[in-house]
Amino acid sequence: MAAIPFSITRWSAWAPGLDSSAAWAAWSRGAARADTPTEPDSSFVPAGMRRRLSPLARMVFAVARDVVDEGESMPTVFASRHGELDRTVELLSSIARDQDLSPTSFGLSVHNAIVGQWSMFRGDRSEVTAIAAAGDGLELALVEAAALLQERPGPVLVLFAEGDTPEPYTGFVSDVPFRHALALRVERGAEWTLARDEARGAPSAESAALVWLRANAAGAAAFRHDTARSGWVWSRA
Amino acid sequence: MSDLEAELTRLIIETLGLEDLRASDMDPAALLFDGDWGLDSVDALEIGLLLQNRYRIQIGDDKAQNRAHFESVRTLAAFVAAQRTA
Repeated sequence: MAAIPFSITRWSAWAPGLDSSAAWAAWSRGAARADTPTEPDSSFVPAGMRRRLSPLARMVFAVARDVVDEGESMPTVFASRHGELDRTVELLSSIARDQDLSPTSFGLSVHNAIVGQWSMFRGDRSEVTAIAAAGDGLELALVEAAALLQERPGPVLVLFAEGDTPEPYTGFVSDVPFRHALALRVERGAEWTLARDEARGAPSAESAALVWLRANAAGAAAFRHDTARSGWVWSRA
Repeated sequence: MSDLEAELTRLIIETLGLEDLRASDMDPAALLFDGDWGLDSVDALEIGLLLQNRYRIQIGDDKAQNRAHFESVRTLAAFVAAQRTA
């Protein structure tokens, strides 16, 4: 695969206690931890809509809002490896108890629900894409964004989020040390290039978003993110 | 407000995530779907499920009757009370 060029013209990330670039920089140096019991701001969403936003959706909305301007419209690509695991557990528990499923949880358990809610909140009918691609979600979201940028200069909104892992799945998730969300405003440009490396290394311990946040804070010229399937090489001009 | 009305008000607010409403402010006669509550059709299904799980009440197919039962917390409470003693 040829290297994909793009520019990230704005970004925002949120985790408990980490809600500014300075906080993420401190985290990347080991000087801050994502252990403050805070919630992302969702007060800008009307109450009638906010009540159907899951904790994962609230993180996504909080970071997405930071990188878009009022009234702008743009395609959105959302990626999450684990998605709405809370809802999955809730629905499966209902089935196990022989209870009918909550129509709200059922309707919002699909992978594209959060970006659908975002599009309704924004009144933006641009295309939305939701990706679940194991550990490769962020990179494949950027491949999708690059394809969209072939058609238009941008911007494309790339969203990535992982929630806290609920029981009984905690033993099966290793790349989400804490819940986090990342929004990238991606436009045509050559600030970054992303390439897939056939020779992959041992899978990275953290999600691509956390790997990116660490490297971005450190100002790294290039870094790798390896998954069970691919090696990804990110370079910054 | 009767105990059952208060309980239903609390359960509806909790189940539907109505963070901006306070149980103590709600008039049991307020309309659920066209008035102060501002609920929609998904909420109606959610309330039906709540009655089923909490009070073991099955909602029938008679639309006019269901609409009457689901008009307000007061009519819902009367419906629940009637089903309990039936």
